[in-house]
Amino acid sequence: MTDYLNQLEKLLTPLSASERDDVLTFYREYCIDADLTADAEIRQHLGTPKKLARQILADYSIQAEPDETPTPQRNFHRIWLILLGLLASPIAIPIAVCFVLIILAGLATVGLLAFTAILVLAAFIVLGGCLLIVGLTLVFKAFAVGIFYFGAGLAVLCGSYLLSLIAYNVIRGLLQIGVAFSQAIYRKVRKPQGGFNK
Amino acid sequence: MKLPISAELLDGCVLALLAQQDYYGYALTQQLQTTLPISESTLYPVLRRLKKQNCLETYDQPFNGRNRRYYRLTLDGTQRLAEIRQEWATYKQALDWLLEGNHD
Repeated sequence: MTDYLNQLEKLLTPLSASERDDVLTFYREYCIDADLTADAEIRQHLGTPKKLARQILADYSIQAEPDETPTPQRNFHRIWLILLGLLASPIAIPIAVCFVLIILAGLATVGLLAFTAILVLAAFIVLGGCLLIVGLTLVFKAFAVGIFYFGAGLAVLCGSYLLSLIAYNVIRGLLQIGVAFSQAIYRKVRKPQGGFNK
Repeated sequence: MKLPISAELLDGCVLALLAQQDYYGYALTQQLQTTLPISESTLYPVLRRLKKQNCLETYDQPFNGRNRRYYRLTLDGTQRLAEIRQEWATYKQALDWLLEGNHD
């Protein structure tokens, strides 16, 4: 049993310590009460640790945590958890694969966008830096030209700062939409949690 | 044939059981499984969600040298249960009317 729970604990690292404790307490107690001691037995009842962990993680990520400000990293992480949950839940496979691909494509797009933004910003910062240096070296030889370059450099640097703010917010917004979208899909696609036999 | 049970109805079933007495995790799963074919990994997320919504609270009670975590209905939980019962009654009536077909 400890082996199973240790594995589960490792897989639940994305959760906060208190949340993880809560899950582990529940399942430790559950196994003792159900008289499950051998790993194989536990697997038969609860599934593999991996599958159980993914189910738990996805359930955590579809519930909005009001005390968390949504940064792009957190959102990215959340979408990822939902994806894992989608893959772990017993759902109609073709639909699931379809949605997983859509979400992956979305993530890839946002990732490329972020990458491009970083490259463009880096180029602007280098350009601004060069202009500043040129301006400084020229300022003693030809004052007007030097001041012009210096000013242009400052303008480019400030412009890139503004641009970075815009890019950050756009990417954050896109990930926000991505989270909402994947949460909706997860809720829709996930097979309901049981059924009446008739 | 297998009709799915919605998350909301499952919430209702859990709350209804807890309205009768306090349960610990395993006993609650067992109790539910006598009537519903739910998997054993289903209940934890449900309990966690209901606890987060303040519909139920937990307390620990010593048992055989360890603790058992019991779940207890709160006032919010009682209200939630009443709402779900109400919704279910309406839904049930509508479906009975459709399925049993005595529309005259």
